[in-house]
Amino acid sequence: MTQDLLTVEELRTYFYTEDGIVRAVDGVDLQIPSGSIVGLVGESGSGKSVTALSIVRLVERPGKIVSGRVLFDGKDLLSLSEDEMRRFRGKEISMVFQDPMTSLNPVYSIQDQMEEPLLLHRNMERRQARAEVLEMLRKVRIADPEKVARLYPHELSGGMRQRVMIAMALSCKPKLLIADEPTTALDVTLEAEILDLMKTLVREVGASVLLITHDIGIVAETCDSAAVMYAGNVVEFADVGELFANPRHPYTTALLNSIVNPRRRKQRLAVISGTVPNMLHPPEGCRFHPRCPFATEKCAEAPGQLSLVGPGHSVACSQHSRDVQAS
Amino acid sequence: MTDRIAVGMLGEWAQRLLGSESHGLQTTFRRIRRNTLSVVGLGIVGGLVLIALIFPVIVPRSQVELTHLDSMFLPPSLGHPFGTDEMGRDLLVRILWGTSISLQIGILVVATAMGIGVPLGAIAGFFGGRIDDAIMRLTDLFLAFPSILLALAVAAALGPSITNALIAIAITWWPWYTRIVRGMTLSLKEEKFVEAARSLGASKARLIFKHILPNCVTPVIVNGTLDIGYAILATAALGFLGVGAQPPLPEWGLMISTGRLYMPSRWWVSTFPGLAILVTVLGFNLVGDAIRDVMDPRLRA
Amino acid sequence: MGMLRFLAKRLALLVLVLLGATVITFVISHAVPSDPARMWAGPRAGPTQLEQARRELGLDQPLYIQLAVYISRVFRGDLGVSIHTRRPVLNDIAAFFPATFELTTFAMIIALALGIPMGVVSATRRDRLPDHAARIFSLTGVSVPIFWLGLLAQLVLSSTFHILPTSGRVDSSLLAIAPPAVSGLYLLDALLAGNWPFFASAFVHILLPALTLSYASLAIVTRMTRSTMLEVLGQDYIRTARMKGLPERAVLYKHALKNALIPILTIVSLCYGFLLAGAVLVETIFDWPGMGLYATNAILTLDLPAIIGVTLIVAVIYVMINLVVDILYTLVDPRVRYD
Repeated sequence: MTQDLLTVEELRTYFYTEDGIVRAVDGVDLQIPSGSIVGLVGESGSGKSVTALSIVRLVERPGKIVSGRVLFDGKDLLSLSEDEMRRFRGKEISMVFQDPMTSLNPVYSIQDQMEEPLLLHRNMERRQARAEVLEMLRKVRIADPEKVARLYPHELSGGMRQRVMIAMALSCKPKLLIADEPTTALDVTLEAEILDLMKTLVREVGASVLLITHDIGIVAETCDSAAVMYAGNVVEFADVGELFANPRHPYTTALLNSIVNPRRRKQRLAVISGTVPNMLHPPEGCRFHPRCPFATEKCAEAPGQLSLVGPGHSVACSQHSRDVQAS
Repeated sequence: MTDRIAVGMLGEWAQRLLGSESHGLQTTFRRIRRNTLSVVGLGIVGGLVLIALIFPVIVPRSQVELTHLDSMFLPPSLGHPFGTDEMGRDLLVRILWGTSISLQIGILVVATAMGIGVPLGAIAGFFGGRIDDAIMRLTDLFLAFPSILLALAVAAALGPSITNALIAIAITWWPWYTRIVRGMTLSLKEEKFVEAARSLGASKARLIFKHILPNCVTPVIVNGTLDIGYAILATAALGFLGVGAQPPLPEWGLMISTGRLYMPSRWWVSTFPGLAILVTVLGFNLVGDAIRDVMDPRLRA
Repeated sequence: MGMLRFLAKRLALLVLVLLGATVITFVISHAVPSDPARMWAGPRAGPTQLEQARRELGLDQPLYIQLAVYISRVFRGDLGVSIHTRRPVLNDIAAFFPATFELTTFAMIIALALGIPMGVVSATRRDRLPDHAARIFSLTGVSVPIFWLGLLAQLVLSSTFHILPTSGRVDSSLLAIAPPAVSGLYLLDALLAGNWPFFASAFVHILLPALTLSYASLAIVTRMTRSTMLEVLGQDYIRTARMKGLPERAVLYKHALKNALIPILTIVSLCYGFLLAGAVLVETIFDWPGMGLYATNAILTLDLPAIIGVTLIVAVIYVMINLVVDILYTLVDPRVRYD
């Protein structure tokens, strides 16, 4: 089996706050093969964004990556110096953030901002970079690129800004694109288009994507495989088809159940009972057990370990052998 | 009516402090204790208030103003820790006595400026339109001058005295409060709770005083505390220039001005009063910062 | 086009402010208990001379006519004659203004040139030693009485250690070789004429007063830069900049600082006001022959035309500074457009 592009092993990132230690990412394992789109699904506060920031080492105070390995192309990113790490950012690994309204610097033109990675990583000359910027804008389907390039971020709409972000992220042809909720801040009508755009461009460049979202529907549409996160842990990982057909973790099942099916009338909205755990004092053992309909005493004692239950399908649940079907 | 609001607010604040949740008292104390500067500030201001209250009672005014021709210009020593001035008076005693003058003036200036500025700001923000325009033009006009210069002119016109200095400074300061309160009123009056009160038939006055103003308290108090220090600085400046406190009042600015004539040989006459001003204003700045941290951590720099 | 209209509106505002300032100072001057006629005529003047003085000064007219006359005079550039110096106030101001302008501008430059870097360092080394040192420095800066600081500086640096001169703008022995007065700013004029001895002397003389004057503003600029930088560094676009792999230097000085400059510019106009006010005190201490000294003397001798003239000029300066800052905004922040 070829080596995965990105392998995350036992990643732990903690936040040392005034009120205590928040274990936002507490032992996360992830594999992203080359040329594939991997989804990372979970509720707000599950630790998805922190995982992504940890991979590129952009976690800020009071957060700190405590332990683990992040193997990218065989190299452990967590062991590199800051200078060495900087050479990866923007070039080999790139990221698109959630809120396009605030992710671009308001005092510089689109052109200026898009040029920067080109000048830095691809050693282009000004004129070359300028042309490439226009080409990238065309690729993300922005009409009249010459005009848009000279504009400032506040003169663009949210959708256009996100396209610019995507263009900027892909401009140096990275091997891995991390997209943190790229469509959450946009209208639903734009969502499909932006996702489609991303998929096309990524295939063109041959990159892999780590797509972070809370919307399991997006995962179904866009991803090849997906990891489900809950309260700082990955609880299930599988190819998308398999995940939807045979969810094993109770949380995954509950998530899938919560999708409203327009074809079924008189459907009661399924709700996951309980609330998201307080990350200052998470539950003992398996963090989902207080809300799990199948919890036993064992669940409160020790957390589940991710173990293989089928080809490419792993679950972190002490009862993974039990067949839990999506209704 | 207003005392009930004040008590209610203090109660709410106290409750927040004593914390029904897991934070509250513990976090507050932790934050304050950790911030030694705040403690220092509180200590300074506390000490000053004590001195201001007690000293004039212990030491009668006459002692501070008597001339002792035989002990002029004594350098600092055990008997006179800060030395004596040109009239033979002990400098330490004069400086300590002057604390009550400075604190009184500082508080009065701020209170007066607030008394004028806050209601004007609320009225301007609440009624909008022509009234707002008129009040804003007025504030702009006053703010067009650097305040000390305007205060200087007013004090000179009214005649040099410490009371006139007080009036002069207050006159130049009220626009700041008007600006702050107007801004807050503008945003507050769109809030739902105001709309709710209005729909229940509350009169305009009631809306302003019972609902909007109490919510402006935080920045006003923070600014007010800081301003006490600056008021003391302004008073000292006017005293230094000769249009504020007049001799033989032991006002610090005046003392620096008189002492200036005897520099550099009798350096202590001007140096120690200035030190007193520095410590005092520093104290109020620290306390103002601490209050801001406690009441609205969002404003923390 | 929008810019021209904006300028026109601002100039109209300037006129309005002048008008208002004139009225206010006029009102204040008439609250003064002293009698201008007596001041003009002198303490030994008899009743006839007083009457004459009164007529000369137009004091026999009703108040509103006096006000109208005064306003029309002001707008023609006639600010009256100083009771103390017996010269036209406008001439006096023209003579004293450059010294103050040089002092305050130098102080402003110091405040910005030292304050902004200090603020940046303070923000990037947050809660560590440089930050704490800078914060204590700033705290004392806004708490210290500026006139006392000047006295102290004089005491230590001039009288005790003889490092810097005590007073004046330049070594009086050098006045013989003074450069031609192009701007009235000694440093600039000396530079233009290549007159190095004069330049050196003027520089050494302006150092102490300017540093004293700038202390409070320096403190404010440092504090402001620190808090703005901290806020800016927490923004999403900084994360994007880092994500592009930019060196930290570029992130700080290219991406962060330009955004931080916007609130800092606001502080500049505020600071200039403090500087003008402080100049009054600093000039007194260092015998700096500027408008502050002129104003103080005018106030102490109750020289009303002079007082009114100075107040008006200061208001004009203040409005001009605000205008300049507003124009600078458009250069720094593309979101700001006046149309």
